[in-house]
Amino acid sequence: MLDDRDTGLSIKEPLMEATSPGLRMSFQDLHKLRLDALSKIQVFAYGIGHFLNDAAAALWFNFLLFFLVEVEPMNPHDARKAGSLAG
Amino acid sequence: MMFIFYRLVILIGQVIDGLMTPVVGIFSDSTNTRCGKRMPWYYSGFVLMAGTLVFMFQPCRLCQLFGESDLMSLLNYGLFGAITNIGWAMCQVSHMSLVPSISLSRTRRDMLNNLRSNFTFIANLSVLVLAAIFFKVFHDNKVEFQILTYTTVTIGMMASLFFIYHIRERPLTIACRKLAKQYRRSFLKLSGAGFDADLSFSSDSPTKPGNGESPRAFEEAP
Repeated sequence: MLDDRDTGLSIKEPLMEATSPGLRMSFQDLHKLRLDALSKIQVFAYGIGHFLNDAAAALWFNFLLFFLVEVEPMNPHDARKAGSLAG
Repeated sequence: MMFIFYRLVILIGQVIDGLMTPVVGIFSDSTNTRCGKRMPWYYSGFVLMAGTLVFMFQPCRLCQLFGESDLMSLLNYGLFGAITNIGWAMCQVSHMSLVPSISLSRTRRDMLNNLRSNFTFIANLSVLVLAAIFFKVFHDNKVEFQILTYTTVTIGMMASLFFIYHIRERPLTIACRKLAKQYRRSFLKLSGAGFDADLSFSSDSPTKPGNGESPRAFEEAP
């Protein structure tokens, strides 16, 4: 089984305050507690984790049909000779 | 010549994507490895997609190997499109379903999902901007498309590798489980101290968690 060292916990604000004697805490404070071990960089990493998918989807839906018909036609008669996009 | 082939290529991709999305969801629910439940699917989807997406925007590679024909062309783009879409579905589903595994807090889950949608817009925008730039700079459509694909896939791969490097699912899930336990302990302690149990953090929960009854968040804990 993994222990704390293996999990690499980086919990900056320990939850134990709530249970330690002498510290007052109300139910309203409960949801201020951290409920995950995500650091800021991990949150950012999660955000960009889907970037490749989105970029692929953008390429696919915007350009694939144009590419197949105009740039690499399976049959040369299909190309309508739109020429370069830049031109 | 009818445009049936191009329709078929697009259709094959979409059908495969539509089929694979629920299938991946069902199978990743019953997966449990030492990298976690969802991440193995992300890894394999990432490899499949990054490896085959570039072939969609290149001349027919299989034709160069096995001879030119319409059927070979269809096979080439259909096959690579299908593999790309399998990888796409695997990445998408596993990335989306990672949220409940790595956070118990509703606020944080929403924040992660918001961030995800933000980067969707950024990705779309950057592809279009890159395309606009490349179409101005280069005057050969084939070169343009190859460079556009390679640039996009490189940026996306770097982002994905950053994600893979920083997010290790299993430690985060274990940490969540521990935090849930601690949360429960302090919750019970507070309820035992005689406060009125009015929990605002799970307002949409049908049952109000009382003493000895775990809030919904705990049940969702993996």
